[in-house]
Amino acid sequence: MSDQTHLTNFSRDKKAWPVCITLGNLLSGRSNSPTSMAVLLRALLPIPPKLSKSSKADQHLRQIKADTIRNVFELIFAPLLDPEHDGVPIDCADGKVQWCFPILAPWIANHMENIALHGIKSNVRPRCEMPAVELGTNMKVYPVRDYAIYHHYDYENWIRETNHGDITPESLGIRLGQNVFYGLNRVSPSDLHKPDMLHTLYLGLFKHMMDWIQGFLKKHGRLEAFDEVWKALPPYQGFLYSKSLLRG
Amino acid sequence: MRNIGRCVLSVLAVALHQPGSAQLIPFKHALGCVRALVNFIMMAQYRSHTAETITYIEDYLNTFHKMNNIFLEFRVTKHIHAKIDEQRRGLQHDRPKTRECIAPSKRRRMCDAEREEETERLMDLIFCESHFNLIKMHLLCHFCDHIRQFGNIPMYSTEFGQLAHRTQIKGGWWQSNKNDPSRQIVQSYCQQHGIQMRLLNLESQRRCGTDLSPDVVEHLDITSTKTAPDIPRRMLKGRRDDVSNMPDFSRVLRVAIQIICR
Repeated sequence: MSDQTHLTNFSRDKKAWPVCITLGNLLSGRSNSPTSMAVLLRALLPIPPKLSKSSKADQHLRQIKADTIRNVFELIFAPLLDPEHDGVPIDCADGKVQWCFPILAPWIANHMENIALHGIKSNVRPRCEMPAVELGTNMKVYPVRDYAIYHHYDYENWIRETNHGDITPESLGIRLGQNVFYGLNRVSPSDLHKPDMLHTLYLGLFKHMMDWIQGFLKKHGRLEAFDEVWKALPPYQGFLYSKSLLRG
Repeated sequence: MRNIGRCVLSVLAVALHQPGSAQLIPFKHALGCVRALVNFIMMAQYRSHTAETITYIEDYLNTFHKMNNIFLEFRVTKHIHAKIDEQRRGLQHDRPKTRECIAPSKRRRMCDAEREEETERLMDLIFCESHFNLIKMHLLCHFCDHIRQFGNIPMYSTEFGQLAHRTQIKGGWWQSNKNDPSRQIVQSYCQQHGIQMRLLNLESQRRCGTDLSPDVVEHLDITSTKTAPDIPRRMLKGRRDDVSNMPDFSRVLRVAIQIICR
């Protein structure tokens, strides 16, 4: 898993980008508890600087940035390459030595990191080839992304060699050859992406929904009543809610 | 946010009680939409699923997608705001300027008609232009497939990563002198991690019944009462609730406990 974190506002906005590993065999209750030390820090990456979209020099810098990220992740994944294929003997907790195949299974990260690591654009999904204009519809007909194809072609011979002429890398929202997960054994990069409750639901749709509700109530003149009811909620054990969401 | 999900529907239902005749249908739709989303979120938190619960989740998502048109007019983005302004300017430009010769009552009527037309055009524009094409809306569609293929969703929570930052990264950052901080962060993380693993190993050995030297056991007793979660809890909630560490005042003051409690 990886997650950028904010350290300070002073001295040029320091951030850290830790990359952690954990074992999928552990029970989620155990691996999610901070005392059990189930999550190990694997690497602490520096944050690449943000680049503006326009100029040509920045294009070049952006390419360098993507290449650097890919090389760094190759370094990180290097110890995994052979054991994924052939297996290694590992001492297990029950005192036996077993032949294990450690495989990178999920990559837990928020959306912005997923797009940085999968080499796609910000308005498409890592998992399937859904165009940005149809994200709001409830359709699942689009095929799962095949990163092997993306990795195989350059931009020029994509147009030449693939038969579907109207599907370009731009329309699929990908940047060719920038996926850091490609090349690992027994790993399908499109399966690495996992749904993320915290950022999608609690911080994402819930916030949107509160905005919609506020607009709706304002339109129908019920905002005062809503605030009154919200204020009147009694406190209860194990039930914390923020009054800061209230208007005023 | 999680707690708000539990009560937002009931609060909304109370706030929307006794609707007028014109408000009846929009209120019903809004409640239905919010109910579907809240139900979806609540079901997605389940730790185990059957085929039935997955169909419930799918149903809730379909209902949400069917009913979310009621909130469409509040999805106005900057882009649409710019378009609205442009349209308004265009309308004002097109308006005839020969109003001086018309009687005031007629002029007022004309103004009203114009304003009505303007709002109508505005709503049309909003309904045409606003959309729910968020990446987050689409991510929901894959929840059901993901549960079928890989299991429950809270298992892959990113919340733990946020919590681990505090002990792994931020603790080291606070202790460092901000001079080449990443090296210091990694160093302090390695030290803490080594000690913690050692403690966990010793603890598990003691639980298995291995003979340890008495001073090791004594140290384990001290550290096990001061394990790590106390510190984050205090940091997170900002309060001290460990009563066990408080000194026994009755013994210090050499009075009976009944006297203190009286």
